[in-house]
Amino acid sequence: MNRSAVELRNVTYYYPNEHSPALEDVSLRVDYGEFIVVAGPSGGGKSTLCKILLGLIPHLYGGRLTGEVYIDGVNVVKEGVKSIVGRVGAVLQVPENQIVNIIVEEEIAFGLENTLHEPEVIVERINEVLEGLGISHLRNRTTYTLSGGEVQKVALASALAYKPKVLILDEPLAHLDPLGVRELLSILNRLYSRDGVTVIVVEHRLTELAKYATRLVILDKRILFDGEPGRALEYSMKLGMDVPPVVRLFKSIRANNPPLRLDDAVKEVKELLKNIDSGAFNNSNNYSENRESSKEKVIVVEDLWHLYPGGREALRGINLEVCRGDFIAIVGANGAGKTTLIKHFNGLLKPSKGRVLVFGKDTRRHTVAELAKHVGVVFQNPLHQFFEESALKEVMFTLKSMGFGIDEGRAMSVLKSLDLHDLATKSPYELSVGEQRRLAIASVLVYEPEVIVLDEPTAGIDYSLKMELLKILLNLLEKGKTVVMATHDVEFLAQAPVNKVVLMSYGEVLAQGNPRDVLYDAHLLAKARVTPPQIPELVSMAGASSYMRPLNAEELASIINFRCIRSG
Amino acid sequence: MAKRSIFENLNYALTYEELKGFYHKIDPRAKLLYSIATIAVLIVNDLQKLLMILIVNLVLALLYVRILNRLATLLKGLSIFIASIVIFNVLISLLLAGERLDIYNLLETQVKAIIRVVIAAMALTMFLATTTPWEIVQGLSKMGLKYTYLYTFIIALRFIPIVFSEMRSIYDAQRSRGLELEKGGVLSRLKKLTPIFIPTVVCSMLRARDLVEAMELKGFGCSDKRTFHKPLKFSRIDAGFILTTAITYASIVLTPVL
Repeated sequence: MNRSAVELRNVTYYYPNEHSPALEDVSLRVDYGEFIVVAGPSGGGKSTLCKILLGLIPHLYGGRLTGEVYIDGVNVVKEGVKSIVGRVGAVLQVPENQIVNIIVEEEIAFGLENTLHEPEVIVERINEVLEGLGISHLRNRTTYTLSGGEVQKVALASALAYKPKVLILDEPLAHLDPLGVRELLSILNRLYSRDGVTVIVVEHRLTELAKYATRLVILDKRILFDGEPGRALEYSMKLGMDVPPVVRLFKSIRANNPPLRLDDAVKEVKELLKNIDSGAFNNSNNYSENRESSKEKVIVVEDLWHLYPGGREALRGINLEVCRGDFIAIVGANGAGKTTLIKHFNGLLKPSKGRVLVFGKDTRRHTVAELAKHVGVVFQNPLHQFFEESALKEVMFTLKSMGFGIDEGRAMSVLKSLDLHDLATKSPYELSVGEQRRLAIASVLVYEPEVIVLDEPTAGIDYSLKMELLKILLNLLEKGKTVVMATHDVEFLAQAPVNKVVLMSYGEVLAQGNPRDVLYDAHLLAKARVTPPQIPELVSMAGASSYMRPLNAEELASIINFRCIRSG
Repeated sequence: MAKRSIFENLNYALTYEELKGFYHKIDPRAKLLYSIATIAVLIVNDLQKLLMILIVNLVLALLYVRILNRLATLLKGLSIFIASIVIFNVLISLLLAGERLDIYNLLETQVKAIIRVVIAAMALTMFLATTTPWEIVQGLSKMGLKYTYLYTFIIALRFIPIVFSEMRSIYDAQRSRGLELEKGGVLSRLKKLTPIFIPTVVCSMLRARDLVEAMELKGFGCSDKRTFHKPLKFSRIDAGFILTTAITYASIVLTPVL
């Protein structure tokens, strides 16, 4: 009998009506007490693997599966999902969709009640998990009023109430802000190291996660690598996947054994920076982004307040200017008011007090359709806008709605510029995540608004797609467009040549200015519940931030390499 | 302050409120009986009696004053519906009665209709705003109904607000692409709903799939029975609440009209 926590033997799986496998000949063994991370590109079969481990595939999805899958000794392909209830805890993607009940306490009790646990036992377990996760204060809260991070913890609490031996999480970091990510990972680490739970995390955001893993598996339909995280990351880098910036830095300056933790990297970075002439690094002159924006103000926000029904203050006295050619990032934790602010830029929301001027037009006196001609907004979830039969028609809908008539040539040209022309006749729902994201951008770019606003553009996409997105944004800037993005993805921000960061917290602007000032101000970032990008944090820890302020691994590597060349 | 839409008003008024008040402590079965009894007595056709039932319910609302705020929001949400009924009634009466139209009688009928809607809305608000769906499931399970069927109701209550909120986001996304629902004739406006309707259905189906997976993983339906971590107990206060309401309603209904 098999007694490892998880074992897959030669698993191949085809979704119904598909001719190419989603997973091919995958064999994987996870022992009890491991903390294993499964990474890989989008579309590489990570979520499919999760669903197979949980018995959802093939029992709910159908399709053709060959091979054997054992969880805690149970053949889940034969026995079905119910055979592992209580043995395995699972938090799937979009935890909000997994919450069944209205009260947190009732949600945690739900599974235990289904499996006929006694009331006394259930109450005891509820108390244990609430205390263990530090969320006792949420006990009587309604689930639909919780923040993204809180929902994630409640979903985790609900899974842990069974006291499972194995915990499986599918992309748990996708919708969390940086502080939420750190909190969740420290909980998972505690569960693994203190309580002995076997943790399996399927995730492609490795910057914060990699240091906790005992093993890292890289999956792209097949298992490409399975081993020690440091080596796996070197391999990931070759594949163009997301790796912690500190790993990228060390790979750029030397070949072997990059540290995974900042603490381990600090000493070495200090040593490398020891002989640098601090005077030579006058901050503003040493980086490449000195792109000039014009003085023409395209959006002016004056003392903007927005009150939601019920009187909750979502925005409090915001002042902001966006000039032509600017690349601005609005940064803040979930709930900081970023989306509410950008919804004022095209008049979707009207100010409760104060005003917003778009190309001199007061948004209170103009319709969304009028303002949208100047400001194109790309929302976070592309699925919120697709309804046509094909990608081409989707783009043409915007053209027609915006009063440009039916111009297929123009629509095809924008699809081509985003490398989507071969997919023009395909349904938007048949496209991959990255293609859907590009199509959403295409359907805004097609009518050539002067300002393009993106809401959390990197949510749910992997590193290569992020870099693809960055290229698109840079291309827009080169064409003289103005780009504003609302994000909590600080690592993407560190890669993007933004000229202004607007830091928001609880509906207020805490700071706005050069990213090298804002992203190096640990005090301000903490106040906004945002963690700094890894390289600024590393440089600050090394005590070098007074004379150099690189934002990403490439910038710091070039400084170090420059110093190495000079010192011979 | 931004205004709530009709759906947002209805949603706010009928959603469970996490604050603790008198009615939160009452057994859901008692509250359900009260709601059914209240709606049943609306069959009386005497204006004075209807007014007395309204007063009784207003007095009961004083035990948890926040209900009145929710009631006001609900009535605001229902105002178009109420106004449509009144206009329809008046028009039909005018058409059918012609010269024989009794204005006083017509007005009285409309006032009675409005009072009935207000009382029914009060009972419904009190029940839904102070009872979690889980409590309703437990209450009805103890009355012999199968919990797996009852959970359909919970899921509807839990997901309807989310679907409305998602529909709002979809509407915003489409408006940002130039969709203007306010322009054009009725047919054209109905046609323009497609860009909102299709993404809403697709997103709801994805949500439903996620929910089914989550429920399977939590052992939903593993057994015909289930336990409840806080078993309901019908207390003296519950009995007193039901008895008082029943006696009051009975005396109003049975008292001869003066």
